[in-house]
Amino acid sequence: MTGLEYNATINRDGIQGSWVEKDVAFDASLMKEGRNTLKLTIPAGGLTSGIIYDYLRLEVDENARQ
Amino acid sequence: MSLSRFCSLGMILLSAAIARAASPVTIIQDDRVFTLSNGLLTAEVNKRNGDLTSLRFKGLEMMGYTSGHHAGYWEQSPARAAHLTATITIDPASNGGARGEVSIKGISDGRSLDGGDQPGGGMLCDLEIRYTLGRDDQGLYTYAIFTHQPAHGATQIGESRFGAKLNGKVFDWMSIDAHGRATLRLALTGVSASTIEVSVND
Repeated sequence: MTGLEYNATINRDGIQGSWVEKDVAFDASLMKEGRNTLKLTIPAGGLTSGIIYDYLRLEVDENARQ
Repeated sequence: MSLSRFCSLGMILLSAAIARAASPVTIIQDDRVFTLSNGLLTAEVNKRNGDLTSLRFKGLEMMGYTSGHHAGYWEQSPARAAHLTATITIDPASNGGARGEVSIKGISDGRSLDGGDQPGGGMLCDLEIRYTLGRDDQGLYTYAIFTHQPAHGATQIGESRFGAKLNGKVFDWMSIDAHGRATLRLALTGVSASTIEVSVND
C-alpha cells in the first residue's frame, strides 16, 4: 500500500489524528478454509515511524461476484 | 440562548433474509435493566450506563464477553452524571406494540461526565442514550444525544462511536465461495510510514 500521507499523530499530536481509509483488494482464493493470516508490515525506520489504525475490516467485494 | 446538540446514530442490523415476526414489542424492566423484545430480537439495556448488555436473535446471543468493554456500548457513558434517569420514552403499550424506546439520560449539572472510554477524558455536557425497536425490525436502533448547555464551560468530545463485541462462537466464518475478490479496509488515524506491506497466508 502506497500513497500514505504523513501526519504527526504518532510523534506530536496525540489524540488529534486525521481519519483516512485505505482499501487493499486481493484475490479471495488466497484465503483458505480454517485459520488465515493477514500480515501488515511497516518498513524499518525510526522509533516514531509507523501507523495507528482504528480498525481492520475484511469483506468480500460484491461487485466482483463471479 | 443557544443550545448545542449533537446526535449520533447507530444500528445493529441482523439478517434481512429472515421471515418477519408479527409479535408486538414489549418492554419490561427491573432495577438493573430494560428488556425490549419483538419475538425475533430481545435486547437488554443497562439502566445505569446505557450499555447494550445482551442482544439475542431467536434466542441466540449475539454479543461477546471476552475482552475489554463487553457487548454493545457507546464510548461515552452517562453513568456518573450528577442526575441520571432511566425512562421508557415510547411505551409499546400505548401504540399496540408497534414500537418501544428506552432512554438513559445523564444531566451534567455543570460537572464533567466521567470520560469512561472516551478519548481525551471527561466532557461537560448532558448525554442521553436511546434504544428503539419496532414490531417487524430485525435490528435494534440506537442513538446518542449530546447537549451542551450555554451556561456551562467549553468542552470537547474526541470522537463518539457505538461499538459491539460480537459472540465469536457465532461470527466465526466468512463465505467467499461466490466471490472473486476480497477487500481489507484499514481505517488509519496516524501515519508516519511511507508504505504498508500486506500479505495473505504468506
